[in-house]
Amino acid sequence: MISGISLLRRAAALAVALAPMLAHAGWDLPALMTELARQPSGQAAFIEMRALSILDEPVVSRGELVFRAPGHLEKLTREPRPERLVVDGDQLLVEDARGQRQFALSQHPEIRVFVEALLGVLTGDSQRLGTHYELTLAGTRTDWRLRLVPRDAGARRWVREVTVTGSGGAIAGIETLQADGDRSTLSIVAPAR
Amino acid sequence: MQTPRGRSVLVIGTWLLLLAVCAAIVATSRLSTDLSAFMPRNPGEQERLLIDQIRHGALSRMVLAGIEGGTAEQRGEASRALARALREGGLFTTVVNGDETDTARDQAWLMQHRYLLGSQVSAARFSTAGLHDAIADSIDALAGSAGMLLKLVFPRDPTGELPALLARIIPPRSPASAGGVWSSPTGELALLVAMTTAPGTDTDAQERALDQARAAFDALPCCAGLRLLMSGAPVFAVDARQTIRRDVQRLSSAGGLALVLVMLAFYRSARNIVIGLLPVATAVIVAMAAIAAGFGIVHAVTIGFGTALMGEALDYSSYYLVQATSGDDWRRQWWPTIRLGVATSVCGYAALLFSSFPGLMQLGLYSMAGLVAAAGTTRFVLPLLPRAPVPASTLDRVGRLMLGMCRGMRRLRWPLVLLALIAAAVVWQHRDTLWARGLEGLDPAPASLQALDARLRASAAVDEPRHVVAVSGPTIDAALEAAEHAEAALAPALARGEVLRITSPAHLLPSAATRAARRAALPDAETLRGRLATAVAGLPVQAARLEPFVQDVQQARDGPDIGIDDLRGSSLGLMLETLLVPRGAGGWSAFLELELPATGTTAPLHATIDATLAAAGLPAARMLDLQRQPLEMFGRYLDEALTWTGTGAVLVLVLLWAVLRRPARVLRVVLPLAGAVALVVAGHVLTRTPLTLLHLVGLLLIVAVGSNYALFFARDAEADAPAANAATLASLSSLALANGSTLIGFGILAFSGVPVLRAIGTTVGPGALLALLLAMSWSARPPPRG
Repeated sequence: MISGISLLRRAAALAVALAPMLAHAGWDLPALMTELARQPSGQAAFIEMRALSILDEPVVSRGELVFRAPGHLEKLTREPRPERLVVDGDQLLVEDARGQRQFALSQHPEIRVFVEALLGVLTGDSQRLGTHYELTLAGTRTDWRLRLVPRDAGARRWVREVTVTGSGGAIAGIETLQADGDRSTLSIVAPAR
Repeated sequence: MQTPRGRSVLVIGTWLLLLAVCAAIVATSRLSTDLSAFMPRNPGEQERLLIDQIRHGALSRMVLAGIEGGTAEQRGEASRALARALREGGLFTTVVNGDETDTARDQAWLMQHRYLLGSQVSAARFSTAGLHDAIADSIDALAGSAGMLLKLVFPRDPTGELPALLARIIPPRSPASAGGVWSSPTGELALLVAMTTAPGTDTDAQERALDQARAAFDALPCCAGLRLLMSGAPVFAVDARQTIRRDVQRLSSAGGLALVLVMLAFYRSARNIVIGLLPVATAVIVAMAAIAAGFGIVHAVTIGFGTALMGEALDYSSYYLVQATSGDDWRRQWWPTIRLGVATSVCGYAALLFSSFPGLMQLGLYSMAGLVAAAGTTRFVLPLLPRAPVPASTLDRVGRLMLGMCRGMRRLRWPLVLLALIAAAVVWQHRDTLWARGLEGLDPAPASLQALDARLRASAAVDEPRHVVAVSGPTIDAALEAAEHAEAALAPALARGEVLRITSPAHLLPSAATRAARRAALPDAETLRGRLATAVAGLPVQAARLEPFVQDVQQARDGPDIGIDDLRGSSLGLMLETLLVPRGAGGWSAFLELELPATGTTAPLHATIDATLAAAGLPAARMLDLQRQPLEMFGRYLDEALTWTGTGAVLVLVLLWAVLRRPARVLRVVLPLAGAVALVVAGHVLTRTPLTLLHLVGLLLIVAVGSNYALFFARDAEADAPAANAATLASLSSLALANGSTLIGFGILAFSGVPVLRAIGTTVGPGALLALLLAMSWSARPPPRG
């Protein structure tokens, strides 16, 4: 006869073993988008490392990201060289020691491919992301990886893929693999307040 | 002794000879449709620079084109195909549409010549310490938003000359882009800029270029359903010429037909119609010849004005044909009154001859010559011709109608006085806002084209330059040197933030001396390699990776020099053409565009900059405000025109006083004219139409035409009040015919699509009628019962 205790223990073991699977069953792209869309506007400190084949060491920059739904994004770099990059709709504004310049985002595919990914993820807009990228989601609710491969040939001239990682509705990092093999990793160090 | 017959032959012979000579002179003249009619003739140095820029500068050759309809891809394709066709067609020097190949070409040129163009290039920058700092700076920049682009050129350009050049040369704002080419901000309009090869003064050649552009667009295989819109100075010149020609043709044939019909109804004689039109034809030919002989160029405005003058010139023959019929001795009884009327008008117009605007001088000369010719033909030629009597029934019927109107007006004289006083009060109250300032309303281009131009300019979203420092030199290189000198003098102001940005032609093409100095600052390959090895110490880069940089510097050191021809046809070349402009008097002007902080008034800053430039040994350099100074300039000339017109009015008064000799008589003539002018101006105030120089001319015309009516009624008032006899009825009906023809001749201009012609129509048409009615009301004696 199997004791009640032993049955209970078995059941518990089974439950523990099944837990990741169960969690995964409810975790898919729509679920991630729902979580992301729930996050309001906010700001966060970042640290970005760029490993470039032409340099012996990665270049590191620090600053803040500011997002206001639905389409306003600012990247304020403090170090090593102050720069303010503002995206508003199709308008791209760059301000640094040399002054202010305005561009149409559509004229700068190398920036646009990154900005589209970031904005799409920040707003949880699967349609927007789906138009520009092929999406693959991996991992769990608490540790997901969303891989975005640009559909547009013009964008692929610059970026091979963008990988966004996070937990729940919070983004932890954005890794960009460039067409020439250079890699840049942007990590959120202090999450949105 | 001459026989009367011999004298007649002499008079008519002289007249025909005069006509032939005048026609020959007219045939040699040239028609001008640009704004130069309203550019002052003897401007100061500052103003000449402005006019230089308008006449010879890039603006006079720049066509701004928009393509609408279809999809963004179709518009982009059409823009590229059109640009290709125009470049191959040869009638345009530069065609730019924001296409990627354009941008790539510009950047390749800047990259290739960065060591000759870069303002940072100096011996210190290429020392070991200078190289270290510059490379460290570039590595920091790799971390920024432009890093992805910069890393591509880093091995060739580790000191960052290209990004520095781009920041200095590329305007902070560029048009939006859709379908791979420039577009309006919302993308529904593809934009393209093209410069005609022909100068702004050659309207015929510009017309050929525009026709070629339209034909090329229509022939594009891709683009059914797309529309091409074009604007800019060449389009204005060509379209304005066409519109004015068409308008003048249409309106003058309509007006002419209406006049002939009125004359037919009145005279019932083909012979009288021909006789009646002779003074008109003579007036137009003589007046045109006077302009051609005096100016060489006939402004389109003057031609349009000529159609209106038909109506006034017809007055004299009407008076003659009718009054001679009534049996009076016309020459003794009526000619002195007509002569006084002509003299009054000529006095009024003489004032315009002293104006600084060629357009106004032409109108003045045209009117004087035309009126004297019409009156002279009426006085000397018409009596020699076999006229037909005007039917007595017509004179009686029209005369009695006029008599009835006189009585009606007479009864209304106090209400009319009140109305005129109210009008005068309205005018007085709005005296500060009566006049349009600047070029507003003076543009001979049709209003629809002006609206299209505004739309295309707004779409291009490119800021019009406003603050400009103008320097000059006898050669291109001297002008560029002066520009560099001025920029150096302004460097402290730039550092202090008083000036935000300077755009100079020397950024695109430095002077020969500067190019040579930069080239001399570059080390040879061996020296550079040696310095780099030390300079990269402590930096995350190997000197060996920077070998492309060493090659490029070597190439810049040994490579060919650059010149103005290298830039031709590119968008950088287009920019240079707007900043480096040949002067009308020989030599070159260089324009430095300054971006100033958008706060408060810039006048003190202008004074500071002028002083800085003078202290730097550039006394001829001038700070211009392209928005404010033209306004001030035209304001000043409008004041001048008003002064001369006032002088003309005083002259008219003096003349009337000298002839009429009694205040009551003078008042009888002057009051109806003043009333008509007040009512017309009040009408414009109430319909919110600002008055321009052309309205001023219209007001002068009201006085000129109206003085004839007032003189007739004032003359009658002096005589013993006659019964409703044949002579009174005849003189009244001649006035009716004269007024009717003036109304038709001028009134029809009110329907013109050309603003300057409409201005004359809306003043003189109503003004002439009002002058007649007020003269009836106030000048005439209580009319006899009849």
